[in-house]
Amino acid sequence: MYILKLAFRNFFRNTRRSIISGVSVALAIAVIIFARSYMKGIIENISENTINLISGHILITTEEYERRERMIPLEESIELSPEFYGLLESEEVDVVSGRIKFGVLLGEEDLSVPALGYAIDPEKERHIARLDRRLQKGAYIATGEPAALFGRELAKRLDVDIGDTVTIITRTAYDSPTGINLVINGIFSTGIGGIDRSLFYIPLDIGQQLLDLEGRATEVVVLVRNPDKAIAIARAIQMRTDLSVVPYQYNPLLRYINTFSIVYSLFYLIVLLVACSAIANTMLMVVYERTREIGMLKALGLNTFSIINLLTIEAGIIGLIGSSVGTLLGGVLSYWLKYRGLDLSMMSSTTSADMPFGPIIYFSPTSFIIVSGFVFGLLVTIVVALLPISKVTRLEPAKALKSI
Amino acid sequence: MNNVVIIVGVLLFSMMPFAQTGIEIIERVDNNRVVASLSYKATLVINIAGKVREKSFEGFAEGEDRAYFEFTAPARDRGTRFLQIDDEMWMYIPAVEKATKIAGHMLRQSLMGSDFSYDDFTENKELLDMYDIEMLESDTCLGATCYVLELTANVAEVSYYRRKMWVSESTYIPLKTNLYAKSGKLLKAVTVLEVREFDTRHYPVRVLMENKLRRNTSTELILEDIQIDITVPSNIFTKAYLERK
Repeated sequence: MYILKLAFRNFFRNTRRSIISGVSVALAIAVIIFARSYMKGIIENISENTINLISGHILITTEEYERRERMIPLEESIELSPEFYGLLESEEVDVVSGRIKFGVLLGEEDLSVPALGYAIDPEKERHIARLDRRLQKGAYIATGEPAALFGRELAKRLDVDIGDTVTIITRTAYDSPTGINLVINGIFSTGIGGIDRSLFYIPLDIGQQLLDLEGRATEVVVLVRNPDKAIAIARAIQMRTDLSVVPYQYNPLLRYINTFSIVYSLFYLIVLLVACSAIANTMLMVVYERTREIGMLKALGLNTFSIINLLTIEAGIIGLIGSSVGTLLGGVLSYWLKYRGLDLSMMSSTTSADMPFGPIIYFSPTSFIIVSGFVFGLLVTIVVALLPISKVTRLEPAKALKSI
Repeated sequence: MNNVVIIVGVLLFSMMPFAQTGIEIIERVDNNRVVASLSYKATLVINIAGKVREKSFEGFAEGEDRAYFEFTAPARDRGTRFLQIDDEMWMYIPAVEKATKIAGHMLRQSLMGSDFSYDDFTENKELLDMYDIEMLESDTCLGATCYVLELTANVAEVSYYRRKMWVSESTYIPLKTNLYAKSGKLLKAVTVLEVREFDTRHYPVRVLMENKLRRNTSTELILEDIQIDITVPSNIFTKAYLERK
């Protein structure tokens, strides 16, 4: 108790020094909590967009289609037969929807704009791609209508708007040139440059007619009730078919992003090292400035353990206050941006153009991020302070008293 | 001595028609291939990894730069039409009800999924105007004695930078042609499977094209009902005719 009182008194003896130490801890912890919440927000944003717009929770294609996906091989299609749907029958499966991805050329007369079309089941895709919620203007598409939803930037490139007719030219699954005139029903915006710039959607039945794929699809997207079980469900489906069945966790983009998050962990480490060096420096000053005082305490009979205790508690107070302030700061900011979102498009006009996530990043702080940030700050401060403390306490009282 | 000179002179003179230059050979090749006008019916037999599809069409060509053809089968392709005027090509798809221009690199893309490109199909320009010619050692090809020639482009607007041709000594038809990119990469191999004799020329009527950039594919072009140097109604080579209902 006496040591604790002494430690508190010492903490306030040089308030400016204590504040500088506390602030460096607070800033480091705030930055770490902020950065981790931001990164988690980005990863969740990418995952959600990938699941909604590309892979669903499980993506089924033929093996050959998966192998040559870049070539968009329309001849590699799946018949959407009752037998096929039977393969997927399970209480765990929520929605199953066929899609056809196809490359097209657009333009008034000279077909100068390449784009990517998706033929989708409009009703089922309300739960998957959710384009009805991403409409910027106009109306959603319906089965049987030769109509399309155009990405905002694609519409801009073609200088077309709601109600305009666009001719698309493509190739059927049998490699014959084919085309259709489509009315633009709606213009959507995902905020992802690559998608808004080159994608359009048409009803599945219209796409099947256009591409000579009646009753077929090249991709089948599955949503499951519990996404965490996607791998197990995909395995169960795979047992019953020789098609390619890929859960979203194995999506190359998401795998890459997860690998990339390791790089970001290095960033946290660097932030922490900078903070550590500040703390270590302060503690070094604290300890060496008080070498004589430590010598005096030793001469008066205070044992080494008590001195270590005293100085560790002092470091702990700095760590506790700094981490608390940092956690509060980083936490409040992250939770605020979780609801408000950070609009990256405000920072640069080209920010969202080539990134696989939308321009508004909703931070994703968790209790784990907050608590681990706090504990980390506290522990690191104490551990870093122990080095100079142990050095000084090893000094002889007579030598310590002689030091300047 | 004088007799010897005369004999050698006569011998040399008598050999001259046989020692043709590359230019002369290509002139005769061009005489065969370049027609003033033409009408035909044709079938493309497209073989992709063992899967065979047939597509039939009929068409007209006039001069170096006017061609028209229309697909008649299978049903899904019926009514798809193409029109080439100068360096421009237009396509008409019945569902779209208007002509669309095919330009630039698209002309080098596959025609109806075959190994032929749009360019291959409509090419009717004289080789002499586009290539420098080098004659190589004669060889046998498909059972015939052939002149072997290497043609290197001297203009930019060619589909293939280099061609190696095995030209039949008897018909002046290139029985085999390898088509190369500027990098030296083999792009396509053309083999003439059947030649028919018309009044003043020989003309290939069965041609096998292999696009070496695709795997396990080949396309056989079979020409029937060929009529050469006919009068083609001028309205055929118009956009209005292409877009007719």
